[in-house]
Parts: sequence; structure tokens; C-alpha cells
Amino acid sequence: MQNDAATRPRRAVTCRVAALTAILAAVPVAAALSANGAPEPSAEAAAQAAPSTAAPYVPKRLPDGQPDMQGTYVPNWPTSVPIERWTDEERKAYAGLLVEMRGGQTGAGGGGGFGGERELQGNAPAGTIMIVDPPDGRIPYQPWAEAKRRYLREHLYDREEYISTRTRCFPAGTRSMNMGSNYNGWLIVQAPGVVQIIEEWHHTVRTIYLDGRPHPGPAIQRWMGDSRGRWEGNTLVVDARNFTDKTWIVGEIDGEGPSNSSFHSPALRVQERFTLVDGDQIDYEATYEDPNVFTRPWTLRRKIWKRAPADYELFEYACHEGNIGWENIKKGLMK
Amino acid sequence: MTTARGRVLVTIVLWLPLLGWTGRAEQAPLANLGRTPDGKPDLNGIWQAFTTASWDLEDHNARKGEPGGQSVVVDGPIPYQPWAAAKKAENARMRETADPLRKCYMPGVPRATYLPFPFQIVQTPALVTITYEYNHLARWIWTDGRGHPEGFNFWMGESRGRWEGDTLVVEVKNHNDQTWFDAAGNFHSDELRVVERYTPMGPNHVNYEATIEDPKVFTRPWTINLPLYRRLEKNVQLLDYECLEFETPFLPWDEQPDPSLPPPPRR
Repeated sequence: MQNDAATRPRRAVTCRVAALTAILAAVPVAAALSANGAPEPSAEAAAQAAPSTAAPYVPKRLPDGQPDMQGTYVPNWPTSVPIERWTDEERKAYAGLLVEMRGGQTGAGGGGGFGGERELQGNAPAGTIMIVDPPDGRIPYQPWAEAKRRYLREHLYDREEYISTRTRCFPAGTRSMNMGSNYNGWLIVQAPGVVQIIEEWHHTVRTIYLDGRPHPGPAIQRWMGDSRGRWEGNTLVVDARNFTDKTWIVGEIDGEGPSNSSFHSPALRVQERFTLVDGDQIDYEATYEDPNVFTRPWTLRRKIWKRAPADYELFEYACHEGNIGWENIKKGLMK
Repeated sequence: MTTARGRVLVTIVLWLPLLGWTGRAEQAPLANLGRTPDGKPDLNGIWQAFTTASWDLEDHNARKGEPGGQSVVVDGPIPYQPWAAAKKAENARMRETADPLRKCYMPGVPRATYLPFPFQIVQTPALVTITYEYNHLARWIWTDGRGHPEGFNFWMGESRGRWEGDTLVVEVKNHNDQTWFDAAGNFHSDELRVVERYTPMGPNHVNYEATIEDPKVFTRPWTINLPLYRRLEKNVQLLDYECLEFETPFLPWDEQPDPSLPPPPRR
């Protein structure tokens, strides 16, 4: 959100530089060019995030036997890496439509969209995406749902409720789990039977119970879902459900290109795997199921966190209290 | 002789607060407390204050939808400077619109504690987190001795903790001046400093004390005191209260935004 760029420029810049470095380091194979000179999406690129099995890492154990994953973390992969594979034509067409929807505005000023827009304009390491299954790299929406998603992204500024609830300063649901936010840190604490993940962005919280208790009944809907977990070796396996339908899989105003408006139903279920790669890095895999909107389960994978520098500290993120961008968008909507 | 006795007396008076401080810390440890492996009282779990303090810290009669209640200020009335007493009265008059919670803003500390919603403590040796059901507020309280960052202010202030015996002491500084202590207009400036003391009274009860200091607004420090109760329901966990949810429209997942689009399959 642009209010962050204003209040925390130093860290935002640092993170962007770090993110770029990470792109360059992590994705050399993604630069392989196809016959027409366009970067070719590659399965290898996505596989960069695959958990390493080479040298087994032996984590410290906590008194209750859990592997110790506590600490302060920052993103270990640029969040501008798209979740889905879109062709250059699709990306450019949507970028053009966005400019049209904004009345010709192309420069800075639109909330949240500019990392994404740069990406749409071709500065990102094309070919690197998060989805590893299905092979076409697209969220397998049912036809009616794909039509809805397309309509929403093409009429983004028509109505308040077409704009992502993340923009409106609600907890972002799965958007926080997959894309995250490239200018914010994370805090993980563990107590017996509990792993808690606090995201600096809008202080969202996930408390993952490991004590075998059941999820609440299906009528209970939660903004970040409701999480139960267990350890399989060095991997924290989480079953998240009881989601509200008010969040999107991804989508942040116009920042995520044609993947904007990727809605889901309350039947969404996300099976996640957080793998401790070494003392400093955590990899992430998630399988999404929602029989109301998808034709089949699908899976994404990314490098998610690395340990933050020792002097890095999470600050308060007053999203709603400082959400001037949203106030301005609403004024625009009313015109 | 007189001088010496006087000096002793002065010394005792000067040290009284400190004696009081350490006296509390050295109270005999409660035997029936659950303890974490590092020997601290185990505060892990879901807690809630059952009090009307969020509507008014001091004595108040019921209002529509709001229970009446008695003061939680132990050394009241709240010692406002004269200009601040006038502002408090004005706040109270405008409370229906001016209470920052009406705009879904963060409540600050200590108000977060005694909102009518549960909160969760996750306790580790170096860090205690308190997360609140109300607007998914989160505080992360380092107990490893690091200092407060300077030059910032925050809606929830900025918390650093330490253990004094069985009491978790949290110093909260760097508040902004935008939050109220309650819906009755009790307020503070950005010079607010709060010292919270979480002292177990048993495995399921914590004595919560918060001392409030603000030289711009009050004539002296003052203290609130109320019990916190462990929520004992077997399946208790935090759910969500998103204040803004009731202020803004949403498009349900099974509703098409336009009649020209294919409908979702019947369920």
C-alpha cells in the first residue's frame, strides 16, 4: 500500500534491492529465451523453490519436541513473482486496460499497483511463477468462475465491492500466505502445542494449533482461515479451512495483473507445508481445494522466508488508520 | 541525633516506592501455578477481562446497550489537569461519534485489555505475544532486555517486558495521542507511559494493574486494577471481530456481478 512507501521509504527501498538481488541469484535459468526471443516459462524456474533433500538439516528442538522455527523473518523471494502463468499478450492487454481504467494515468499514484505494473511492463523475471500444478500454471477455475474473475478485473473500479478487501485493510487471507508483502517482516513464536505466525503487514495473526483439536464448525468463517498443524520431520504441515469468502487467493487493486480478483468460496481448504531448509530459510508449498470454484486441487511453491538481519524489528502497521489511498479510491468511485 | 533520624526517615521515604516494587516481586511464588520450562508462570492461553471499563473506567450508570459499572481506578478520580478535565467532558459529550473505536481505530493500551473480547497470550523465554480478537490486534513484547526504539509513535504504543518474580511487567511508550482509555472520553497525550503488571493469582486468574503517567494531561500517575480470567471452555480459541466488516459492502462468492455471466452451479 502506498501509505507504507510514504512512511517507511528506507526499508521499502532496501527490500526492493534485496528482492532484485534474490531474483538475479535464484532464477538464472528463467532467462532462457524461446525462438521468438520472449522469455520462456520454465518448470525449472518454479522448481527453484523445491525443498532441498541434499543435506538433512537438524533443527534445534523446543522443550515440547517441536523443531524450533522461531524468529523474525523477511521474504526470501520477491513477491512480484506472479502466482500464475500469463502470456505476454495477456499481460500487456491487461496493463493497457488498467491505464484506460485509470483515465490514462501510467505513473505513480495508484494504490498498491506499481510493483505489479512494472512487472506487467516486463521488468520481472518472466517465466518464474508460483504454481507448479497444474502444468499450465493457471488456477483451474470452473468456467462460470473464470468468467466472474475476468469481469471483476475488467471492471475493477466500478464498485467498492469489486476491490480487494486487502486494499480495504482487512486481513488478506491466502494472499498473505502466498504473495505476502515484500516490504514487511514476519514473526514466528512457538509454545507447547502452538505455532503462531504474526505478519507485520496489518498485524495479521495465524495461530496454528498442534494439539489435535478439531476445527470449529463450518458456520465459523475466519479472515485468515482456521489452522491446525502437525510436524512431519522438519516440515510443519498445516490444514487451513473455515475461510470467509471475502478475501481473494491473490489480487490487490491492480497489482497482480490478470490474476486479480481470484476469489474463492468458504469451502476453500489450503494444505500447507512449511519446510525448515536450514537454520535461516523456510520453504513453502500449498495445495488449494475448493470444489465450488475450482475444477481440481492445485499447488504453488515458493521460497517464503529467510531470517531477518539481527537489528531488524517489526513495527506496528496501522493499515486502516492510515488508509488514505482507499479514501481516495472511494472518492473516485463516486464520480 | 535529630538530623541523623531525619536522614534515615528521608532515606526510607525516598526508597519506599522501590521497597514496594521489590516487595511485590519477592512475594512467595504460588505453588499451584503451571510453569514454563524456564520457571516463569505459564500465561499461555486465552484470557478475558469481565468488566465495564471499556465503556467507562470510573463509576457509571447503564446506557442503552451498555451495562453500568463501578470504577476500576484504584486512586481516582482520574487526576486531570483543569484544561484536560474540560476536554474529557467535551469528549464524553461527543462520544457517539468521537470515540476512536467508532472509526474502528486501534484501541491502544491498556484499553485493548479490557475490551469485551478475549485475547491470547503466547509465551516464550525471550518474547511474549498478546493477540486480541478485536480487530486482530497484535503486540509482540520482547523480554530479552532490548530497549525501546525512539522517535516513533504507534497506536498501540510500543511494549517491552521483563519478569519481576512471577509478575510480567510491560512498559509501554511511544503512543500517539489518538486513542482513548474508554468510550467515556478519558484520553491522553503522546507523552503517555503505561506500566502494565500481569500477576498470577492462581492458574486461571491474573491480577492486571496498569499505571498511567502523562505529564501533559494528568497531575500525577494513577492506576487501574482488574482481574483477568482464563477462558476455560474446552474448545476456546480466538475468532475474528473485524470492526470494518460492518461498514463496507462485499460481493458474495456465488453471486455474479453481471446478469450476462453464466450463473454458478446450483448447490
